[in-house]
Amino acid sequence: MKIFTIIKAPERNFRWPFLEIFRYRELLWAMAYRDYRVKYAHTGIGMVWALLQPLLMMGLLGLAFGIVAPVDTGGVPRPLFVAAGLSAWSYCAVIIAESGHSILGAQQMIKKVYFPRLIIPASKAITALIDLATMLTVWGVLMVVYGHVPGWRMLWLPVFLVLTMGMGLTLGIWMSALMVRFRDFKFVMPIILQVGMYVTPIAYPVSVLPESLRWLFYLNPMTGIVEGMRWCLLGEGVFDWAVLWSLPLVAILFWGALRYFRGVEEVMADLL
Amino acid sequence: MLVEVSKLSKQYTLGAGMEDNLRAALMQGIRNAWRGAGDRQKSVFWALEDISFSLDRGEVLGVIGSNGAGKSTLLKILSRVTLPSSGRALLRGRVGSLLEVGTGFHPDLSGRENIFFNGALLGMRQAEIRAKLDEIVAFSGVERFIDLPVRKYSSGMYVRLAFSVAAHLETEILLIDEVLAVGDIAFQKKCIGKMEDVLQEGKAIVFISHNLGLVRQLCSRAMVLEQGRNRFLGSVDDAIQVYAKACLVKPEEVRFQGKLSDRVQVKGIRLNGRDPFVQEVLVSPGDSLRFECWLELDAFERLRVDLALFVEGMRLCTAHDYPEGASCRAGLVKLWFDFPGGWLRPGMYFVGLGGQEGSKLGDWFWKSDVFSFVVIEEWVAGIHEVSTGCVNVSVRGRREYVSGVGATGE
Repeated sequence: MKIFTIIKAPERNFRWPFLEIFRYRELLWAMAYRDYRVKYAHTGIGMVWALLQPLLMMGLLGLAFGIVAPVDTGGVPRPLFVAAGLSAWSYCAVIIAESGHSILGAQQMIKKVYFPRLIIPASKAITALIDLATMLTVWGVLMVVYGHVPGWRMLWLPVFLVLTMGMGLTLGIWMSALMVRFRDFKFVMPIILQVGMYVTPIAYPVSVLPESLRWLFYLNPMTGIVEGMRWCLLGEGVFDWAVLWSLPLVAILFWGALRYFRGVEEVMADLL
Repeated sequence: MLVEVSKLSKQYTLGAGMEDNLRAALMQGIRNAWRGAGDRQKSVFWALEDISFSLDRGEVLGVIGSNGAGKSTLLKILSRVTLPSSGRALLRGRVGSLLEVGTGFHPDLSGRENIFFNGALLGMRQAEIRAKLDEIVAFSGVERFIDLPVRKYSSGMYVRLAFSVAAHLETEILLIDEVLAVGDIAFQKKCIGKMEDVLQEGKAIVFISHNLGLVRQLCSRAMVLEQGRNRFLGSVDDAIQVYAKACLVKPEEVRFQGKLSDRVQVKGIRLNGRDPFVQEVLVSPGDSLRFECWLELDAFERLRVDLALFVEGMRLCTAHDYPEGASCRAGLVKLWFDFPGGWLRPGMYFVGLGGQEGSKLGDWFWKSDVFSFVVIEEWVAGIHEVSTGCVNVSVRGRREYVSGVGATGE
């Protein structure tokens, strides 16, 4: 293969980065694999940690919305209800948290070697698949325990997973680029994650909210995604068409994130 | 042409426009909205201005210049780490650089895992790395530890492993920043060996260095950068002359430190008859060294003058004129120190000059790095290429059988 490189001043026009990322796909996999190895390889009980955290989270949410302030789940066993909602949210949250810091964490590489910088936050979405798989395993076990059958709606799962990943990456890419310019966003990110946790209907259905406030919750794209996830994983309830609102919303936000990232990418090595 | 660079410039904006905290950015935004964005004060700094050159197969371009002249910026642009502000560069073929040795190494991962990741980062395909793995490991000499996490490696093992990954990247164009090679002569040797291999394969190299001896030995052409501009581009010898003239001080500008510093003034220095303030002196490893110094002195009771050689910041040796001190009258004195030849090994040496009056503490003057000289890489009789370090010694090891198969000692 003949490699031909032209180096010139930034042109400030937007190009979709997918082709270049595809060309660097081996590096993308290598980065994801490295993250996985670093995260789990040298800890004492390794993967058990990946399981422990969501279980703890489920327990806390179950306590809050089941015993302290009980919420009607529409007849679905509560652990199952929480596990389905949490699987979408925790995947999204892990991507945001990991990719948000990723550019700052990879400064040394960025200052020395060229590669499409988007690979760094993108690889985190791949590594986070481990967290997703753990959560879905928990959900699967609970399905068996409660004798629940998901049905044909399961076919929709990939759609919601892609949406979840898109949402996680959108915020993660925004955060990672903003953090390069303004270190203040180190403090903004945990706030977003904390607020997001409560305004996303993980352990309660949207139907418990007063009718007049629901539109406000649907401004959060994760609301539709979590509702949809529950619809397809639990095989209960009716499809809420408002869910489809999340699709264009995530698409637009994702495009905005790529645009902003591209602007910062050009001066990244000079700013770090 | 493998490399074509035309009118490459890089501008950095200092101050306004690059606020790195939110408050400043918000304030700037408000101010701009209030007054219109036109009148903000920017201070602009050109790290590189209008650089053009081209490089063909088998050519090595040496880039020399003092610190901050733009050498590293040029390399950063060529390796695509940062983008130029204007101009363009065409690179035909894969670009590798020996400035990114060990980038992305993770201390918790094994040597093997780090080879794979680092290789991918440098642009190697996984299949390519797998095919060369044995070769890379053998070259690094850390076979036994290849599955241990690299945090358990000594720093030497770490560098060797990192270097051998970079060295096995097949490139048409190689970028080398010599700054990295400083500190480990064996490692520097490997870099040089690699450069020579690359040249024979008909590739192009851009070599950035402070070591004029190395530039002279390896480069076919050289460019002198000064404050981001191309001051000279042409033959290596001419470039070295231009560079040396541009960055050396006059002997009158040598300022001593210490209590006696205003009672002594350097008037001139010669090394083997050549003036190091006019041009950096290059000597062969076999040459004997004569340092001559002319000093304008006040009268002293018991003055001792010292001349010391430094290598990489470490004092190698010190010579004195009168170890016990001797009186001298006010006026111009000439001192000379003779060092035998065949003693210093190739490298760059700095010379320090100073003195002490009597044995009273505090009565001294001193200046390190008065000037530097280079012992060039050249092999003459009696100097063994296999040894490394900064001095040659004539010690020979001995060997004898103690026991073993076929031993006849008993």
